[in-house]
Amino acid sequence: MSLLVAADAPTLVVVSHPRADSLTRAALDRVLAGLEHAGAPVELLDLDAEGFDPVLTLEERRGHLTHTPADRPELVPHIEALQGARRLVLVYPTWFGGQPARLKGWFDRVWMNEVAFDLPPGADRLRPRLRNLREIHVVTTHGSPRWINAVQGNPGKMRLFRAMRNTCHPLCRPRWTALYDLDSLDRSEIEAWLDRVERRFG
Amino acid sequence: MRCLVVYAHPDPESFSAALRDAAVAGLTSAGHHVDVLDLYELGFDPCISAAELEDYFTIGHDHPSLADHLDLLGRTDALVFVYPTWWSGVPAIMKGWLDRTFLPGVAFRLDDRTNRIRPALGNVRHLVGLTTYGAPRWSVAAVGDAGRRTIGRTVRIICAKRCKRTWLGFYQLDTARESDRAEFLARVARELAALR
Repeated sequence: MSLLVAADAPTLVVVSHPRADSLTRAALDRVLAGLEHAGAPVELLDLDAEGFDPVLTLEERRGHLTHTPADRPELVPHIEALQGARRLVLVYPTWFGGQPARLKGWFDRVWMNEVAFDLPPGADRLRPRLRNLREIHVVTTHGSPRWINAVQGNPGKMRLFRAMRNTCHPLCRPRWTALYDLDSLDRSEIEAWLDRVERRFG
Repeated sequence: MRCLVVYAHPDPESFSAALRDAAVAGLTSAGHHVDVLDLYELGFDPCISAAELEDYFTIGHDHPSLADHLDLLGRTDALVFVYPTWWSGVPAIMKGWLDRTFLPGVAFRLDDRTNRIRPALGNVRHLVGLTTYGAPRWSVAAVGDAGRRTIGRTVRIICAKRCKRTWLGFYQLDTARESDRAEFLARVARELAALR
Protein backbone atom coordinates (compact mmCIF):
# COMPACT_ATOMS: atom_id res chain seq x y z
CA MET A 1 0.00 0.00 0.00
CA SER A 2 1.16 3.49 -0.66
CA LEU A 3 -0.46 6.81 0.03
CA LEU A 4 1.67 8.31 -2.66
CA VAL A 5 0.44 6.68 -5.82
CA ALA A 6 1.78 8.61 -8.74
CA ALA A 7 -0.66 10.77 -10.67
CA ASP A 8 0.16 8.71 -13.75
CA ALA A 9 -0.54 5.40 -11.99
CA PRO A 10 -2.66 3.18 -14.19
CA THR A 11 -6.38 2.97 -14.45
CA LEU A 12 -7.45 -0.58 -13.68
CA VAL A 13 -10.38 -1.69 -15.83
CA VAL A 14 -12.21 -4.85 -14.72
CA VAL A 15 -14.84 -6.28 -17.06
CA SER A 16 -17.25 -9.16 -16.68
CA HIS A 17 -19.66 -10.42 -19.32
CA PRO A 18 -19.73 -13.89 -20.86
CA ARG A 19 -20.51 -12.76 -24.41
CA ALA A 20 -18.15 -11.04 -26.84
CA ASP A 21 -21.10 -9.51 -28.74
CA SER A 22 -22.66 -7.96 -25.62
CA LEU A 23 -23.39 -4.32 -24.96
CA THR A 24 -21.03 -4.56 -21.97
CA ARG A 25 -18.19 -5.46 -24.35
CA ALA A 26 -19.17 -2.59 -26.65
CA ALA A 27 -19.07 -0.28 -23.62
CA LEU A 28 -15.65 -1.67 -22.69
CA ASP A 29 -14.33 -0.82 -26.15
CA ARG A 30 -15.54 2.74 -25.71
CA VAL A 31 -14.00 3.01 -22.23
CA LEU A 32 -10.66 1.84 -23.63
CA ALA A 33 -10.94 4.17 -26.63
CA GLY A 34 -11.65 7.10 -24.33
CA LEU A 35 -8.74 6.25 -22.04
CA GLU A 36 -6.41 5.85 -25.00
CA HIS A 37 -7.46 9.23 -26.31
CA ALA A 38 -6.76 10.73 -22.91
CA GLY A 39 -3.35 9.07 -22.91
CA ALA A 40 -3.98 7.32 -19.60
CA PRO A 41 -2.02 4.16 -18.80
CA VAL A 42 -4.44 1.24 -18.55
CA GLU A 43 -4.44 -2.22 -17.11
CA LEU A 44 -7.28 -4.57 -18.10
CA LEU A 45 -8.63 -7.61 -16.26
CA ASP A 46 -11.10 -9.58 -18.33
CA LEU A 47 -12.61 -11.96 -15.79
CA ASP A 48 -14.62 -14.11 -18.19
CA ALA A 49 -11.83 -14.39 -20.76
CA GLU A 50 -9.43 -15.68 -18.13
CA GLY A 51 -12.10 -17.89 -16.54
CA PHE A 52 -11.72 -16.28 -13.13
CA ASP A 53 -13.20 -18.60 -10.48
CA PRO A 54 -15.41 -16.50 -8.19
CA VAL A 55 -16.06 -19.13 -5.54
CA LEU A 56 -14.17 -18.43 -2.31
CA THR A 57 -12.80 -21.75 -1.03
CA LEU A 58 -12.86 -23.36 2.39
CA GLU A 59 -9.13 -22.72 2.78
CA GLU A 60 -9.58 -19.06 1.85
CA ARG A 61 -12.43 -18.71 4.33
CA ARG A 62 -10.48 -20.30 7.15
CA GLY A 63 -7.62 -17.90 6.45
CA HIS A 64 -9.66 -14.82 5.79
CA LEU A 65 -8.21 -12.92 8.76
CA THR A 66 -4.68 -14.32 8.68
CA HIS A 67 -3.69 -15.11 5.11
CA THR A 68 -1.76 -12.62 3.02
CA PRO A 69 -1.22 -12.31 -0.74
CA ALA A 70 1.74 -14.70 -0.36
CA ASP A 71 -0.83 -17.42 0.39
CA ARG A 72 -2.61 -16.71 -2.92
CA PRO A 73 0.01 -16.80 -5.66
CA GLU A 74 -2.70 -17.29 -8.30
CA LEU A 75 -4.33 -13.99 -7.27
CA VAL A 76 -1.15 -11.93 -7.03
CA PRO A 77 -1.39 -10.38 -10.53
CA HIS A 78 -4.90 -9.14 -9.69
CA ILE A 79 -3.85 -7.96 -6.24
CA GLU A 80 -0.88 -6.03 -7.58
CA ALA A 81 -3.01 -4.42 -10.27
CA LEU A 82 -5.54 -3.35 -7.63
CA GLN A 83 -2.88 -1.98 -5.28
CA GLY A 84 -1.10 -0.12 -8.06
CA ALA A 85 -4.11 1.65 -9.54
CA ARG A 86 -5.22 5.20 -8.94
CA ARG A 87 -8.58 4.67 -10.54
CA LEU A 88 -10.78 1.55 -10.74
CA VAL A 89 -13.23 1.18 -13.62
CA LEU A 90 -15.79 -1.63 -13.44
CA VAL A 91 -17.71 -2.57 -16.57
CA TYR A 92 -20.54 -5.08 -16.12
CA PRO A 93 -24.23 -5.77 -16.67
CA THR A 94 -26.43 -5.27 -13.60
CA TRP A 95 -28.17 -8.58 -12.92
CA PHE A 96 -30.63 -8.85 -10.10
CA GLY A 97 -29.70 -5.45 -8.82
CA GLY A 98 -25.98 -6.04 -8.65
CA GLN A 99 -22.75 -7.37 -10.07
CA PRO A 100 -22.70 -10.72 -11.88
CA ALA A 101 -21.48 -13.58 -9.68
CA ARG A 102 -18.07 -13.61 -11.33
CA LEU A 103 -17.41 -9.98 -10.41
CA LYS A 104 -18.88 -10.40 -6.92
CA GLY A 105 -16.46 -13.27 -6.44
CA TRP A 106 -13.58 -11.07 -7.59
CA PHE A 107 -14.43 -8.81 -4.65
CA ASP A 108 -14.85 -11.78 -2.29
CA ARG A 109 -11.47 -13.26 -3.21
CA VAL A 110 -9.15 -10.45 -4.35
CA TRP A 111 -10.23 -7.72 -1.89
CA MET A 112 -8.68 -9.81 0.86
CA ASN A 113 -6.95 -9.34 4.19
CA GLU A 114 -3.86 -7.12 3.94
CA VAL A 115 -4.99 -6.00 0.49
CA ALA A 116 -8.28 -4.17 0.93
CA PHE A 117 -8.37 -4.18 4.73
CA ASP A 118 -6.86 -5.16 8.05
CA LEU A 119 -8.97 -6.57 10.85
CA PRO A 120 -6.87 -6.78 14.02
CA PRO A 121 -7.97 -9.22 16.73
CA GLY A 122 -10.93 -7.84 18.67
CA ALA A 123 -11.86 -5.30 15.98
CA ASP A 124 -15.29 -5.40 14.39
CA ARG A 125 -14.74 -2.88 11.60
CA LEU A 126 -12.40 -3.13 8.65
CA ARG A 127 -9.36 -0.83 8.56
CA PRO A 128 -9.02 0.47 5.02
CA ARG A 129 -5.93 -0.38 2.95
CA LEU A 130 -6.71 0.64 -0.62
CA ARG A 131 -5.74 4.27 -0.05
CA ASN A 132 -4.32 4.31 -3.56
CA LEU A 133 -7.79 4.30 -5.12
CA ARG A 134 -8.94 7.87 -5.78
CA GLU A 135 -11.87 7.00 -8.00
CA ILE A 136 -14.29 4.16 -8.64
CA HIS A 137 -16.05 4.56 -11.96
CA VAL A 138 -18.86 2.12 -12.74
CA VAL A 139 -20.11 1.55 -16.28
CA THR A 140 -23.16 -0.67 -16.17
CA THR A 141 -26.38 -1.54 -17.98
CA HIS A 142 -29.80 -2.21 -16.48
CA GLY A 143 -32.71 -3.96 -18.20
CA SER A 144 -35.23 -2.07 -16.06
CA PRO A 145 -35.82 1.67 -15.81
CA ARG A 146 -34.26 3.75 -13.07
CA TRP A 147 -37.37 3.79 -10.88
CA ILE A 148 -37.61 0.00 -10.74
CA ASN A 149 -33.96 -0.17 -9.73
CA ALA A 150 -34.72 2.36 -7.01
CA VAL A 151 -37.53 0.12 -5.74
CA GLN A 152 -35.10 -2.80 -5.83
CA GLY A 153 -32.74 -0.76 -3.65
CA ASN A 154 -29.76 -0.48 -6.05
CA PRO A 155 -27.78 -3.09 -4.08
CA GLY A 156 -24.87 -3.18 -6.53
CA LYS A 157 -24.40 0.58 -6.39
CA MET A 158 -24.69 0.56 -2.59
CA ARG A 159 -22.06 -2.16 -2.26
CA LEU A 160 -19.49 -0.28 -4.33
CA PHE A 161 -20.10 3.28 -3.33
CA ARG A 162 -20.61 2.66 0.36
CA ALA A 163 -19.14 -0.60 1.65
CA MET A 164 -16.21 -0.99 -0.73
CA ARG A 165 -15.38 2.68 -1.15
CA ASN A 166 -14.83 2.76 2.61
CA THR A 167 -11.64 0.78 2.08
CA CYS A 168 -10.30 3.30 -0.47
CA HIS A 169 -8.86 6.81 -0.23
CA PRO A 170 -11.00 9.05 2.03
CA LEU A 171 -11.70 11.31 -0.96
CA CYS A 172 -12.27 8.43 -3.41
CA ARG A 173 -14.69 9.73 -5.97
CA PRO A 174 -17.67 7.63 -7.05
CA ARG A 175 -18.70 7.95 -10.69
CA TRP A 176 -21.70 6.20 -12.21
CA THR A 177 -22.21 5.90 -15.96
CA ALA A 178 -25.29 3.73 -16.27
CA LEU A 179 -27.78 2.79 -18.94
CA TYR A 180 -31.31 2.07 -17.74
CA ASP A 181 -34.35 0.53 -19.41
CA LEU A 182 -32.24 -1.36 -21.92
CA ASP A 183 -35.11 -3.72 -22.77
CA SER A 184 -37.12 -0.77 -24.14
CA LEU A 185 -34.47 1.28 -25.93
CA ASP A 186 -33.86 1.45 -29.65
CA ARG A 187 -30.47 1.23 -31.37
CA SER A 188 -29.91 4.98 -31.63
CA GLU A 189 -30.50 5.49 -27.90
CA ILE A 190 -28.01 2.76 -27.11
CA GLU A 191 -25.47 4.29 -29.52
CA ALA A 192 -25.95 7.66 -27.85
CA TRP A 193 -25.13 6.09 -24.50
CA LEU A 194 -22.01 4.43 -25.90
CA ASP A 195 -20.87 7.81 -27.22
CA ARG A 196 -21.41 9.22 -23.76
CA VAL A 197 -19.32 6.44 -22.22
CA GLU A 198 -16.40 7.31 -24.49
CA ARG A 199 -16.73 11.04 -23.74
CA ARG A 200 -16.69 10.34 -19.99
CA PHE A 201 -13.25 8.77 -20.35
CA GLY A 202 -11.83 10.77 -23.26
CA MET B 1 -46.00 -25.52 3.93
CA ARG B 2 -43.10 -26.23 1.57
CA CYS B 3 -39.85 -24.48 2.46
CA LEU B 4 -36.72 -24.07 0.35
CA VAL B 5 -33.54 -23.27 2.26
CA VAL B 6 -30.76 -21.94 0.03
CA TYR B 7 -27.48 -22.07 1.89
CA ALA B 8 -23.96 -20.97 0.98
CA HIS B 9 -20.86 -21.27 3.13
CA PRO B 10 -17.67 -23.18 2.32
CA ASP B 11 -17.09 -24.25 5.94
CA PRO B 12 -19.35 -26.97 7.40
CA GLU B 13 -18.24 -25.84 10.88
CA SER B 14 -19.26 -22.21 10.35
CA PHE B 15 -21.89 -20.32 12.29
CA SER B 16 -23.84 -20.08 9.03
CA ALA B 17 -24.04 -23.89 9.02
CA ALA B 18 -25.46 -23.72 12.55
CA LEU B 19 -27.98 -21.12 11.35
CA ARG B 20 -29.06 -23.45 8.55
CA ASP B 21 -29.51 -26.33 11.02
CA ALA B 22 -31.50 -24.14 13.41
CA ALA B 23 -33.73 -22.99 10.54
CA VAL B 24 -34.33 -26.55 9.32
CA ALA B 25 -35.04 -27.73 12.89
CA GLY B 26 -37.51 -24.89 13.48
CA LEU B 27 -39.36 -25.42 10.21
CA THR B 28 -39.45 -29.21 10.63
CA SER B 29 -40.76 -28.94 14.19
CA ALA B 30 -43.70 -26.93 12.86
CA GLY B 31 -44.51 -29.77 10.46
CA HIS B 32 -43.27 -28.07 7.32
CA HIS B 33 -41.58 -29.88 4.45
CA VAL B 34 -38.02 -28.60 4.02
CA ASP B 35 -35.67 -28.87 1.05
CA VAL B 36 -32.10 -27.60 1.37
CA LEU B 37 -29.88 -26.47 -1.49
CA ASP B 38 -26.32 -26.42 -0.15
CA LEU B 39 -24.63 -24.55 -2.99
CA TYR B 40 -21.05 -25.31 -1.96
CA GLU B 41 -21.76 -28.99 -1.42
CA LEU B 42 -23.48 -29.15 -4.80
CA GLY B 43 -20.47 -27.52 -6.41
CA PHE B 44 -22.89 -25.04 -7.95
CA ASP B 45 -21.38 -23.12 -10.87
CA PRO B 46 -22.42 -19.49 -10.37
CA CYS B 47 -21.31 -18.18 -13.77
CA ILE B 48 -23.74 -17.80 -16.64
CA SER B 49 -22.14 -19.18 -19.77
CA ALA B 50 -22.32 -17.48 -23.15
CA ALA B 51 -24.57 -20.26 -24.48
CA GLU B 52 -26.87 -20.03 -21.46
CA LEU B 53 -27.24 -16.31 -21.92
CA GLU B 54 -28.21 -16.78 -25.54
CA ASP B 55 -31.30 -18.75 -24.45
CA TYR B 56 -31.94 -16.57 -21.40
CA PHE B 57 -35.35 -15.25 -22.42
CA THR B 58 -36.71 -18.55 -23.75
CA ILE B 59 -35.22 -21.41 -21.75
CA GLY B 60 -37.52 -21.16 -18.69
CA HIS B 61 -38.30 -24.42 -16.95
CA ASP B 62 -36.62 -26.46 -19.71
CA HIS B 63 -33.17 -25.62 -18.38
CA PRO B 64 -31.22 -28.88 -18.72
CA SER B 65 -28.96 -28.63 -15.65
CA LEU B 66 -31.10 -26.56 -13.30
CA ALA B 67 -34.49 -28.24 -13.66
CA ASP B 68 -34.47 -29.52 -10.05
CA HIS B 69 -33.71 -26.07 -8.69
CA LEU B 70 -36.37 -24.42 -10.82
CA ASP B 71 -38.92 -27.02 -9.78
CA LEU B 72 -38.24 -26.40 -6.07
CA LEU B 73 -38.32 -22.64 -6.58
CA GLY B 74 -41.63 -22.77 -8.42
CA ARG B 75 -43.35 -24.82 -5.71
CA THR B 76 -42.05 -23.41 -2.45
CA ASP B 77 -44.15 -21.37 -0.01
CA ALA B 78 -41.17 -20.09 1.93
CA LEU B 79 -37.79 -19.12 0.51
CA VAL B 80 -35.03 -18.98 3.13
CA PHE B 81 -31.55 -17.64 2.37
CA VAL B 82 -28.71 -18.51 4.76
CA TYR B 83 -25.31 -16.94 4.10
CA PRO B 84 -22.37 -15.01 5.53
CA THR B 85 -22.36 -11.34 4.48
CA TRP B 86 -19.25 -10.68 2.39
CA TRP B 87 -18.68 -7.23 0.95
CA SER B 88 -22.13 -6.20 2.04
CA GLY B 89 -23.87 -9.02 0.24
CA VAL B 90 -24.40 -12.65 -0.60
CA PRO B 91 -21.35 -14.75 -1.54
CA ALA B 92 -20.66 -15.03 -5.28
CA ILE B 93 -21.97 -18.60 -5.39
CA MET B 94 -25.36 -17.41 -4.10
CA LYS B 95 -25.43 -14.36 -6.36
CA GLY B 96 -24.85 -16.76 -9.22
CA TRP B 97 -27.73 -18.91 -8.05
CA LEU B 98 -29.97 -15.86 -8.40
CA ASP B 99 -28.40 -14.91 -11.73
CA ARG B 100 -28.96 -18.39 -13.18
CA THR B 101 -32.21 -19.68 -11.67
CA PHE B 102 -34.28 -16.48 -11.44
CA LEU B 103 -35.13 -16.72 -15.12
CA PRO B 104 -37.81 -15.04 -17.18
CA GLY B 105 -40.85 -17.32 -17.17
CA VAL B 106 -39.71 -18.85 -13.88
CA ALA B 107 -39.13 -16.09 -11.35
CA PHE B 108 -40.47 -13.12 -13.29
CA ARG B 109 -41.94 -12.23 -16.64
CA LEU B 110 -41.71 -9.18 -18.83
CA ASP B 111 -45.02 -7.45 -19.38
CA ASP B 112 -46.18 -7.79 -23.03
CA ARG B 113 -47.14 -4.16 -23.29
CA THR B 114 -44.67 -2.27 -21.10
CA ASN B 115 -41.77 -4.76 -21.16
CA ARG B 116 -41.44 -4.19 -17.41
CA ILE B 117 -40.51 -6.86 -14.88
CA ARG B 118 -43.58 -8.58 -13.35
CA PRO B 119 -43.68 -11.16 -10.54
CA ALA B 120 -43.81 -14.88 -11.33
CA LEU B 121 -43.01 -16.27 -7.86
CA GLY B 122 -46.57 -15.88 -6.58
CA ASN B 123 -46.07 -19.11 -4.66
CA VAL B 124 -43.51 -17.48 -2.35
CA ARG B 125 -45.36 -15.97 0.60
CA HIS B 126 -42.49 -15.97 3.09
CA LEU B 127 -39.06 -14.57 2.36
CA VAL B 128 -36.47 -15.12 5.07
CA GLY B 129 -32.87 -13.93 5.35
CA LEU B 130 -30.49 -15.41 7.92
CA THR B 131 -27.04 -13.90 7.79
CA THR B 132 -23.91 -13.04 9.73
CA TYR B 133 -22.06 -9.73 9.67
CA GLY B 134 -18.58 -8.95 10.93
CA ALA B 135 -19.56 -5.34 11.63
CA PRO B 136 -21.97 -3.86 14.19
CA ARG B 137 -25.57 -3.16 13.23
CA TRP B 138 -25.14 0.63 12.87
CA SER B 139 -22.19 0.17 10.54
CA VAL B 140 -24.06 -2.37 8.39
CA ALA B 141 -26.99 0.05 8.18
CA ALA B 142 -24.65 2.92 7.27
CA VAL B 143 -23.29 1.09 4.22
CA GLY B 144 -26.77 0.12 3.06
CA ASP B 145 -26.67 -3.69 3.52
CA ALA B 146 -26.70 -4.63 -0.16
CA GLY B 147 -27.43 -8.29 0.66
CA ARG B 148 -30.60 -7.38 2.51
CA ARG B 149 -31.61 -5.11 -0.36
CA THR B 150 -31.01 -7.96 -2.83
CA ILE B 151 -33.26 -10.37 -0.96
CA GLY B 152 -35.67 -8.08 0.87
CA ARG B 153 -36.31 -5.81 -2.11
CA THR B 154 -34.97 -7.10 -5.45
CA VAL B 155 -36.28 -10.64 -4.85
CA ARG B 156 -39.26 -9.47 -2.81
CA ILE B 157 -40.91 -7.59 -5.67
CA ILE B 158 -41.27 -10.75 -7.77
CA CYS B 159 -42.82 -12.83 -4.95
CA ALA B 160 -46.47 -13.02 -3.83
CA LYS B 161 -48.15 -9.67 -3.32
CA ARG B 162 -48.56 -10.23 0.41
CA CYS B 163 -45.22 -11.98 0.86
CA LYS B 164 -43.90 -11.49 4.40
CA ARG B 165 -40.27 -10.73 5.08
CA THR B 166 -38.30 -11.99 8.06
CA TRP B 167 -34.75 -10.73 8.52
CA LEU B 168 -32.53 -12.20 11.23
CA GLY B 169 -28.99 -10.83 11.21
CA PHE B 170 -26.24 -11.78 13.61
CA TYR B 171 -23.83 -8.87 13.99
CA GLN B 172 -20.18 -8.65 15.13
CA LEU B 173 -19.65 -12.34 14.44
CA ASP B 174 -15.90 -12.33 15.12
CA THR B 175 -16.19 -10.78 18.56
CA ALA B 176 -19.48 -12.36 19.72
CA ARG B 177 -19.73 -14.41 22.89
CA GLU B 178 -20.72 -18.08 22.80
CA SER B 179 -23.87 -17.27 24.78
CA ASP B 180 -24.92 -14.66 22.18
CA ARG B 181 -24.54 -17.25 19.46
CA ALA B 182 -26.58 -19.87 21.32
CA GLU B 183 -29.31 -17.35 22.06
CA PHE B 184 -29.47 -16.29 18.43
CA LEU B 185 -29.72 -19.89 17.19
CA ALA B 186 -32.62 -20.50 19.58
CA ARG B 187 -34.31 -17.37 18.27
CA VAL B 188 -33.88 -18.49 14.65
CA ALA B 189 -35.47 -21.88 15.39
CA ARG B 190 -38.32 -20.20 17.31
CA GLU B 191 -39.09 -17.59 14.65
CA LEU B 192 -38.96 -20.08 11.80
CA ALA B 193 -41.21 -22.50 13.68
CA ALA B 194 -43.72 -19.65 13.98
CA LEU B 195 -44.05 -19.08 10.20
CA ARG B 196 -47.48 -19.99 8.91
